[in-house]
Amino acid sequence: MRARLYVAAVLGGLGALVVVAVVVLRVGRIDPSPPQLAGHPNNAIPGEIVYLDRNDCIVRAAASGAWRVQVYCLALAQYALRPDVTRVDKDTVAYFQWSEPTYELVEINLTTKAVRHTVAQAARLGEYGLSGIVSPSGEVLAQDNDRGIFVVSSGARTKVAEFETPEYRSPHLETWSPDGKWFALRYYADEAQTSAELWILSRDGKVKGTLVADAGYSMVSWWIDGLGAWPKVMQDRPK
Amino acid sequence: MADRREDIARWREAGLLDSETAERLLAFEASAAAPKPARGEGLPSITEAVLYLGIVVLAVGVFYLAAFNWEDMRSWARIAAVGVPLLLALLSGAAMVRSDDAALRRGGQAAWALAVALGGGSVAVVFDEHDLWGGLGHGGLLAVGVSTASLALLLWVLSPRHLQVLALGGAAMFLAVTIGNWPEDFDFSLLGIAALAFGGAALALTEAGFVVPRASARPVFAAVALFGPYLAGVNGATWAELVVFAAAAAIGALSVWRASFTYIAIAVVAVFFELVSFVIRHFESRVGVPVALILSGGLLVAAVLILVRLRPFDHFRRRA
Repeated sequence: MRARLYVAAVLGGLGALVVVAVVVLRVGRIDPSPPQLAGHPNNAIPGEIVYLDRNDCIVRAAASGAWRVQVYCLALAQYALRPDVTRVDKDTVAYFQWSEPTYELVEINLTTKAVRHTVAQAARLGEYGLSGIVSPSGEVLAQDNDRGIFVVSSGARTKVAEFETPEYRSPHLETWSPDGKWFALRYYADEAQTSAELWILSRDGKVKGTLVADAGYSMVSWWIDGLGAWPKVMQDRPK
Repeated sequence: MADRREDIARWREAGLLDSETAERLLAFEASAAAPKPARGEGLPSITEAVLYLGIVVLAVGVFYLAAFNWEDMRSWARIAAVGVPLLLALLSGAAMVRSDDAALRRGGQAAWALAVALGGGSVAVVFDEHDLWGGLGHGGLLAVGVSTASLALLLWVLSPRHLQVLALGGAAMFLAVTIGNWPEDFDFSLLGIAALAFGGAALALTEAGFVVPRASARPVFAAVALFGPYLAGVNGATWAELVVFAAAAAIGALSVWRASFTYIAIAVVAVFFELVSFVIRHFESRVGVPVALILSGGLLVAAVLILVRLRPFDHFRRRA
């Protein structure tokens, strides 16, 4: 028995040593996330972003990382599609939801949190399919298979940044800022993709930051006073 | 016993043993002090084999029943679906493994070997259900590997039999796989290093006489030490290909030193597969296969020439 305990000690010790070394040294683990903006806000990043977090609550955050507030929580079924929340004016966010027999537009006042429901036909959807990949001036944000992020303008392609991410987990392109100088990217740090990080990247690729780490699955909307929201989801709003 | 008498007589004739020592050895072998084969030792009977077959068929049925209804089961039911069979396997194994009856002992070994697999499965389900350490992601799977290997090691300590050695080897290989799975992108090199370390350490302990039964420990741990680097080599790590050749050569040398046919057989098989993979990877496919076959054939011939000089063959010749 003593010899077997000796074997158990040697093999168990070796196994523990290998596992602890691999875990503590974070062998092969990749953390491509830029520095958190929440702790060190970058006031050069203008405007606000609204997004739906992983708990289905609408959150409004300064793009600089200076502040963040929860606006309104939705009641959604577990497997229901998450609505794309968009900023429609300085005081209002809105989303579409299915309400038999048609879609309705739900508008929420950011200050009073008052909710207004109207039938969706009264609103006209804008360039929904293109989302925020196209900038207000018509430039396109693109990605290649080597994790590079590019701006394509007048047929010319300029590399902006490259992130060392795990295979098949490059950041998703989310939207341009309304002034066309910044991008928001979505990155699933967790392999199970239970929530996403929102990254902010400057157009020249020099400034990078992680804005939040609790984004859900739906589109984000960027608002800058005087310039409005991007992407422009609604062209007309019901009166 | 008859073989031992013949050996002792032959050693006495060769002058290796004096008459007095030879007599004492014969008396010892004939006395109660010499270990006696247990009742029913050897191959399982047909009845026992059919019983095992029935249990396997039953287990597969229960497995499919649980698998088909997995989505509809509550969390506690899922844990119970693997936890209860684990407890039954552990308890029934504990009851049988020290029995005087060889058939029951074999049943106990089989139950504990099954318990190792069920133990890993139970930990996996618990991690998945409670989303511990990210569920069954990198960390969770590593925890499953550690738990499985720990249980296999514990059961081998309690009952060092062939099936426990086999379970320990399988658990060591699984642990190496979970270590390879730890990085963001699966790292076959890490798998290869871990398997080589575990297999190599276990082989060293086997040859030092600490790991028993040696008959199963030798092939199982040699296979673990070679298979990990082989997988790494197949998946692109050139260093691992060279390590397979080096490790196979070392095991071949060990076979000469320890007069073990098992080692040379494992080494030859490993070199054969590694050679085929190596040539196909590094040479044009048109010439790759024929060259691999020629080199492998040459290797086999060389292995036979080496084996001719081994003591096991001398032993076979003497017995013939």
